[in-house]
Amino acid sequence: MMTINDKLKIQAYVDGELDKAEAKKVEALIATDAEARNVYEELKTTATLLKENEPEVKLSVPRELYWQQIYSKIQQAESKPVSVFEYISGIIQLAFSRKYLVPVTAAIAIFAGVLTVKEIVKPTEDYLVVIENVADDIGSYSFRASSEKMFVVWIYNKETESPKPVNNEPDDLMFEGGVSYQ
Amino acid sequence: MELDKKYSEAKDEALVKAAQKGDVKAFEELVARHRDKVYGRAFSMLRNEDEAYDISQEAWIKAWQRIKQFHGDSNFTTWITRITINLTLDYLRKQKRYKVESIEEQVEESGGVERQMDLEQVAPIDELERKEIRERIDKALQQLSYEHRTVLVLHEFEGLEYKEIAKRMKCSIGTVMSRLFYARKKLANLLKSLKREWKK
Repeated sequence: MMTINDKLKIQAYVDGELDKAEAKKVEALIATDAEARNVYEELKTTATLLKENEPEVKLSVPRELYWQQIYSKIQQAESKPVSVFEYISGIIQLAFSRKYLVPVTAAIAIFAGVLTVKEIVKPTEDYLVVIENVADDIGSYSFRASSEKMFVVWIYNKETESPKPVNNEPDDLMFEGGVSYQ
Repeated sequence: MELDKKYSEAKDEALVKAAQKGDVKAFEELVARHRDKVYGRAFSMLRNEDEAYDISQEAWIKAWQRIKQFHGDSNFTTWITRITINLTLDYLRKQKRYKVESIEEQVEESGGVERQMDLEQVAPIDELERKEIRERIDKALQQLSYEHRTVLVLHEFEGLEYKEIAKRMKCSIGTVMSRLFYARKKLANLLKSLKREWKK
């Protein structure tokens, strides 16, 4: 009757972990003992089955999004100033689960539009902009307060939400939630 | 376009050298090439998509930060995979998912020392069969404890020696040996129907 230590020794032989002298002893045991031979065959078969059939796993996230997240974190770690675009897209990625890739991608496109408008207009006053969106079901507003160094972007589902300013007075312009960058 | 082609056609070694000089595009190409492998290794140990995703990203950030320390002693894939393994093991330790098991517990979990593995020599298989075998192995791995799964992944898939596994898992070689033995035994029991379908 083999002990657990005998079996572990056979396993070490299968895995190539024994020195020559010990390996020879195990070989002799396998050659003469049916139970030892059985253990050897079983261990070898399992090891081979696993080595040759590692399950394949693939990332479903697009290459660009995966890289963008890494690059943002690298920049943050290096304490370099992160661009508004990367910062906002990072917030969106955190706010949304990965299963909402399509809306997130649409949102990123909106931000790009917002930033483009911002660059073109270069305002010095506070202002509100409604961005034309490529997605049918997602709308957005942005609000910039130069005096407060604040830039707010609001994204909403056109079918279920219609964000209205709580107060139309410019100084109190607020929405009931949203994504902001300061 | 030409620039993209330059990166996509470059060998890993050239991309690593460029990345070591601060070329982010070269590093991005390395990420694109090996991201499945990195994510897959984290997932094989964690069995959780979100956690594996986060660990894989952390591994790439570490790789960028340490890229100058990579001297090409191994290939790049091995290097980045080792970073991933270390991060995953650290994460599992912090989460306290590893437990100290007695031999008796391992025996019980694997179905008993004396139970023989119900597997025989596997016959040649085509791609479809291989895919199915992999799926079944994947499911079986999911049923193992973190300790058993990790030791199998490190030994069978990563090809690490006992002492390397012991060092990384912060346990003795004897513990590695017994975990490996019982992990194989349990896995063999979970896969025993393969015998009927694929034996010679």
